[in-house]
Amino acid sequence: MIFNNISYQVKKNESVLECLLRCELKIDYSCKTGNCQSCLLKSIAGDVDKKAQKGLKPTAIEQGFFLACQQQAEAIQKAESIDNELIFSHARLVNKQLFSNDICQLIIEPVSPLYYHAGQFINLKNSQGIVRSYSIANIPSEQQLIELHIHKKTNGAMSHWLFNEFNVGDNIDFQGPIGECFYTSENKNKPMILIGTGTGAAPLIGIVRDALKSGHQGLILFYHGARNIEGLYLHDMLSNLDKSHSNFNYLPSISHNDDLLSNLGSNDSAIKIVVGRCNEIAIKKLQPTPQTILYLCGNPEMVNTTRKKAFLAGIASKNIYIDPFEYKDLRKSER
Amino acid sequence: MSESLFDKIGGEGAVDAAVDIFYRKVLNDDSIAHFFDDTDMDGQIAKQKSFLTMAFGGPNEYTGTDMRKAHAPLVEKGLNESHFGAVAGHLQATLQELGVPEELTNEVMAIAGSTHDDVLGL
Repeated sequence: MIFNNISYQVKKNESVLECLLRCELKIDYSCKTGNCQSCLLKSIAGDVDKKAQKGLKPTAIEQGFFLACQQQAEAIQKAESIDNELIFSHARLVNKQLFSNDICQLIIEPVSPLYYHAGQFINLKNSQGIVRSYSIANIPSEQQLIELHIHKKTNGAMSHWLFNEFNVGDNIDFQGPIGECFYTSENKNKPMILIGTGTGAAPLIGIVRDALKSGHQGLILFYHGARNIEGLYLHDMLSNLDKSHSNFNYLPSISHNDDLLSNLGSNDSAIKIVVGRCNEIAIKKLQPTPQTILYLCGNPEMVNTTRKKAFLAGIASKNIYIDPFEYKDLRKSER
Repeated sequence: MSESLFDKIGGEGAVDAAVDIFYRKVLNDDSIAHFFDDTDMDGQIAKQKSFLTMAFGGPNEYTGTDMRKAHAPLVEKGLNESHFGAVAGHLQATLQELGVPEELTNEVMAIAGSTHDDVLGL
């Protein structure tokens, strides 16, 4: 395979990304599962696999763009990287505030207006070249601002950088919006169930905001799960939505019952926090109809097992929207 | 020109209606679920869809060699006659559930049956 005019030896069954990383080339990538689109390259000669173009815009497909992590290297004779300016746009950080000790909210302002749906994601690329995906939590408005929720991961290079070194006024590159996990008003009258763990609540609150703004008529159940109370970082906001909208129900849960009672004392919200896993609670109560729309965001294992259980319980496959938060494998060697 | 099997069954709409019912039956059958139990549900559904399109006599790009190649890893894992029969049974039950007339069902089952040797690598 020739990449950027240099020839590389390809191993059987490896992906283009694996091949280039094995040869110690510095190229952008993040999820390695064909979702984040940060490893996008352009094919000059070769047979691009269908799955390596899944989710790409028609214009990108026409130009031979493909996802390096999903493409067999053997099938590509010649490829090249795509000009940074074609993929990345710029934005400025205008506000940053803590939701909790390890979750913060970033408000960024793109230099040019962005057309997007709340619930889609963008890839941020920092000055060190690290790329990560973050979901958009707000709906488009005249101010043209984008709201992101960042979870500080243990050893998370990007999240630590965003927490500690990315300051108001700083610029950042971003790619997107990307993704199919968002609200459509044709589902206005249908019952909607949203299940999210951790900052999986970010795309979900975006979807809820979109639904409520569109005058959604069906019942909305919002299951937010976290490890502890601090992780239910939208508790007050979602409790208020629950009170102000008769068709919106907020159902919080925590998987570890460490400090439930003492923390609840200071919280005068009427919403009851249940102990257990949010997806298991939701599946237990599930009453699927042919119309039921399901959104699943956050921990990939939660997303994938819940998707299957919901499907087997009778929810139509086309009515299940997912956004698994794949985290980059920090180990240098392959699994 | 007489209507094709695919048109008589209801074309792509029929495939869409059948795919969830069929895939649910397969996943609920413990004797075969492990062959289909991939975390990539989109990929699995796409595969069931192209299989159903072919079985319904619709436009498809399947060749015997593709069938053979695609199922070879499963044959290695022990895919055999009984599994083939189970899947065929779920296909038939799906068609019955959708109210497909018997003579059309028979035609579909004949097409599905014609893949037997390639699927099992015989």
